[in-house]
Amino acid sequence: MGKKPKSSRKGKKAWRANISTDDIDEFIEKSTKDALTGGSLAEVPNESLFFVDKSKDLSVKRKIEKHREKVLHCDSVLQRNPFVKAIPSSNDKKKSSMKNKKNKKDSTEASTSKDDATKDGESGIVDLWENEAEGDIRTRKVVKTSVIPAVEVDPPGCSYNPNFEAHQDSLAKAVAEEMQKVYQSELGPQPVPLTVQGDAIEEEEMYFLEVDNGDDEANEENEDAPEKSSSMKKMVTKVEFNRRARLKDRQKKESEAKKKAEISKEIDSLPTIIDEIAKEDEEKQKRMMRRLVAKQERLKQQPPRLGRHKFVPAPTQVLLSEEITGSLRKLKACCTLATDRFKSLEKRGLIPPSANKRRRKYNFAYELRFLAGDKVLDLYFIDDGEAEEAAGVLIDVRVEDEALRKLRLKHLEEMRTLAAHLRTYLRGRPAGNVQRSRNFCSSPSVNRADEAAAAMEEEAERKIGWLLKVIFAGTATAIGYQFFPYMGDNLVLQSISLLQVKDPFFKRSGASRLASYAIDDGRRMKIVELGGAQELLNMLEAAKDDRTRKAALEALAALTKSDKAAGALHKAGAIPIVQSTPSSVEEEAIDKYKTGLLKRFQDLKYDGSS
Amino acid sequence: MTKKDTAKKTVAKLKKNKHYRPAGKKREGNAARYMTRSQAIKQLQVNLSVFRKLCILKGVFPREPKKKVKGNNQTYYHVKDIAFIQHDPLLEKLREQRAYQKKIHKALAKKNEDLATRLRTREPSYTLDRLIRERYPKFVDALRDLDDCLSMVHLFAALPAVERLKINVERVHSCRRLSHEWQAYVARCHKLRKVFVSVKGIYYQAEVEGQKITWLAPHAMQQVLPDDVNFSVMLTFVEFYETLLGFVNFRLYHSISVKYPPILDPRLEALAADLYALTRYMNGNTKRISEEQESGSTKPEHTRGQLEGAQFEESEHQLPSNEDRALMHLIEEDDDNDDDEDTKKCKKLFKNMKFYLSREVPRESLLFVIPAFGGVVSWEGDAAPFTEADQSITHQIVDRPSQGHMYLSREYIQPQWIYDCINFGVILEAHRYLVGRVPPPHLSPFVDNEAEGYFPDYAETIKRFEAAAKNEVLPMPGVGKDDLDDPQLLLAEGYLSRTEAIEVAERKKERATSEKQYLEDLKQEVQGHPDATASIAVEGAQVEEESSRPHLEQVAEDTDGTALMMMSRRNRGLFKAMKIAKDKKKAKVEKLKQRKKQIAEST
Repeated sequence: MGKKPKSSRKGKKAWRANISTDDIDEFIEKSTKDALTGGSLAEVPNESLFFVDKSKDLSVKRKIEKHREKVLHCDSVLQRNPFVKAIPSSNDKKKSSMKNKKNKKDSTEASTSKDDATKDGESGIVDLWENEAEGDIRTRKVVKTSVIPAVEVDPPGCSYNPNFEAHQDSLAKAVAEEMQKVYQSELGPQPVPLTVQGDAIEEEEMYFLEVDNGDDEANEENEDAPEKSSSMKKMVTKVEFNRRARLKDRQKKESEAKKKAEISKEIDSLPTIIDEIAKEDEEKQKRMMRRLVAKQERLKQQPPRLGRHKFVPAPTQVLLSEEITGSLRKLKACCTLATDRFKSLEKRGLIPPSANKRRRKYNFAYELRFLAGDKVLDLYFIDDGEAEEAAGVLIDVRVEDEALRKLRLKHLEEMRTLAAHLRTYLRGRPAGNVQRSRNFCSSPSVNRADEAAAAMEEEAERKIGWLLKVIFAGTATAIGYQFFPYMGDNLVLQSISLLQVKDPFFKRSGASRLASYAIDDGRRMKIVELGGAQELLNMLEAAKDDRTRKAALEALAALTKSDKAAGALHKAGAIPIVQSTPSSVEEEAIDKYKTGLLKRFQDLKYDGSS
Repeated sequence: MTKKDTAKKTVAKLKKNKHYRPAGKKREGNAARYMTRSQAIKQLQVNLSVFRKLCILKGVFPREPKKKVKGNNQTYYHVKDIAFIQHDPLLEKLREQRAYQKKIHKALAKKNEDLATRLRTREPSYTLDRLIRERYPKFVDALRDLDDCLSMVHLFAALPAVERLKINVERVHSCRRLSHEWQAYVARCHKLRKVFVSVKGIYYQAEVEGQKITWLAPHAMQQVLPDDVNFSVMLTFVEFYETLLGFVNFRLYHSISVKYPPILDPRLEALAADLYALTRYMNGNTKRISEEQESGSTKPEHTRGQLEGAQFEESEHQLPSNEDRALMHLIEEDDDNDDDEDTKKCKKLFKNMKFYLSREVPRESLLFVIPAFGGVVSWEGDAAPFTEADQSITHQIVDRPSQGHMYLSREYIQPQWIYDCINFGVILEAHRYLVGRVPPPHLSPFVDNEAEGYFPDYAETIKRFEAAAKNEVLPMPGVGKDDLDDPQLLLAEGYLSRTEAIEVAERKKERATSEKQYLEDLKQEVQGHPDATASIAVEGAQVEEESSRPHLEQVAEDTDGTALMMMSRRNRGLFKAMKIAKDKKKAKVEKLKQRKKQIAEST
């Protein structure tokens, strides 16, 4: 259809065209229709249009009546017998319950209004389950969130006075948990380094580099392009065309034949294929079963993943072997029950697990200094001698701090994990702290930490072995180091055992510890008695770098201030070893210590030759 | 033309398909059924804290859909759960509260103190009664879910009130009151069954209306408030649980016809002897009510709106004059006709024993535990029923290295004795628990040794002791070992050890075979055969007997197999999981035994 030619909308013609005559047309049409059919229906009275059907439609009637009163056959039978009272059928119940429901609604409304009147202060003074027997309580299907019970009873090993075997069991579990954390942090992926080694590239140069590369690629493309286009433009001769067509044909035929052969082959090997499928199915089934079982097992231990964070179980609360006293009064109980309940809520999936809030970046050196600061505060509580010691520790800390800074990353990492481990250990059981505030004046509060460390060491030794022993020795020293002024036999032993460790870092720290411990004759002799002198000499002999030698010499110098200790050192063959230590250019202190030591031996009339 | 037709067809098809959604906007399955938390918050038009509160109060918890449409880092809720919250009037109430709080803020900001205080007096509040009724339609449901409730209430009763965390003093006090009310009921009705003192706290298990209820109460020491706990969440839980426990206590008190809430002696309350005050109240109340019932003249019920003074007067009237008698009264009750076997046993455990607690023992726990097993107890303090000098005291509980002045008429024992006696259900010999000694290990009563298949040493000694005690009490006259069908004897024998039980079974089998043989002999005699074939018959019986055992095993295996086949895939998986767990347990027991052997060898 072509477009209508546009005409002017002005003028009479256009104006007329816009008047609609529909209603007129409609009326005319209707009136003619009425005339033809005999009047409109709207004007006719109802009687002439409808009538009451009085004829009997049996089927409909039956249907209606059946619905009107439905009497079950069983009921009707029972009704006939006057001695048997019919039990109302379920149908009746439904109807009545509907009525009840309405009533109930009213009553509940009333009760709520009453509740509002009586404010919340008085809730709990009515019997809520008064009419539970009525059985008309619309209940929502309660979804059980988890199979874990609300109150999980601790294993028997967590008793305050446990059976030996059960206790060992629980303890092993606790140690394993801790060690898993350590291993996980050790074996986990390395964090992405903040800086990358190498020379910095200036921005301008980078720009140029990129430009060069781009140019090369563009050139290559340009070179390739004309060749391709020329080959494309080549004309195809008829001979060539035919040849290609034939080749295509042949290939098609060949492929078809091949397919056929393959299919026939497959048909031949149908039984094996069926076998394979069956096997596959079985395997799938097995895998599914395994997954299902694994999931069920997992759900017994922890909730499903309900949010951003993973559920982290609370540490097991178990006493160390030393802490078992058999007395309720002396029990070091867990005082963080709130955590336990909260973790239980998380474990049962009632609330999504929250993030672990303790995520402050840990700085070992800072921590040391911080602790040293604490010691300064404590100086008010101790006498002069101890104050001197504390001051010594402060100096020592400063030296150690610098050394730590210079140390390789590996050592720092090690110390960090150890310290973190230790911290979690101590934090998990702040019971000690509570006790500490209670009997601060009477007992050396810090010994507790030492004991804990020693106990941990012992437990670990029992459980895991040598490797752990090394790690725990580190932990113990870390603690002991922090509470230096209170060091006792225990820590002298540990310092000495540190000397036996292969790593020079541990050796050095052990030696420096001994050096600062040996401040009076009794202590010096104690070190000697516990075999510290021999170990120090061994260390000096085996040392491979100057700093280790220096640390050993320093400790020896501290020891020789006592006459007896010097005698013991002489007996252990100190003079030749000291004499044989090479002097070094960087560390002048070595020479100083060496000469000092030798002079001291001469003063005491110990011969180099004897 | 054809194009038009196809278009029409597709339109018709679309109309037919009810759930059509344009491509890219498909919402079916998990996408339609679950929504994330932020979506839910948007839908409910509340803020996060209110949403959390609503979820906890309504009992709506996050779910884990199979497919997490919005990513793995989201928390998902079921759409119907959220709709369920949306229809609750509580939602409106909380919104109202928030709006009202804004009004107060506004008044304060405009320095209109008068208005603010006036507004504060009429703050909208809500009750949780309806919610409790909705979540626990039956009383039994409430009892089943009481574990967490009790632990939480006991915990909050021991927490310090900290304003920063909104743990206010009223809350702590009401928790304390509720926990004491519960304990008083349990002690009064002798419903306590097990106690386990662990490092974490003290586990109790009671059996109320057939439901085993376990809860954990903290040790009597300062609790710390760790910073990794969200206390607003905890407080919401506690708010709900407080109401729940209130209703439960009401019901339980009324079941033993004691008025609730109890009215306590203000003097005892001031001395923090709530539990004792409660027990006294209960005894007085029940006695009075029973008297009233006997006389048939019931007093008109006092409404709660009565004056305080009148209440106290009444309470003093209720309280019995003789304190000591009130305690003794506990045992003299003789309404045990409806008690079950366990309750009767528990009631009698510490009968005719009088305990005195020294200063250093955990008072709260022991004051609850000892009366629960029928003992009479007093402590060192002001309102104590009797003093240390009382001659009738049979046991004094001490926890110190040595006792200075000792009365010869009583035993000085450590508190663990009480707990162990309760757990084993017998009065143990006191010499192992004497003052200054290291007591034997405190074993967990929650471990089913029989099922575990491993008995710790001390448990075995006690078992032997128990068996010996039983023999002493009821020596079975005239019961020979042959009367194997006697169930009591069988039980007693099976009690001692597994191996003996097996022996018993074997003996029984022997007896059965001999019986059979005898019958067969009889038959043969009846048939007229001489006893020439008797020996052959015996052999046959033996052969049959031998073959029957593996045959039975085979049958059992077969039935297992068929059952396995009949199970659904899921159930089969669960069954396997069960089996694996069982194997693990067995391995554990083996390990324990081995360890024990090693220790024995090394020492």
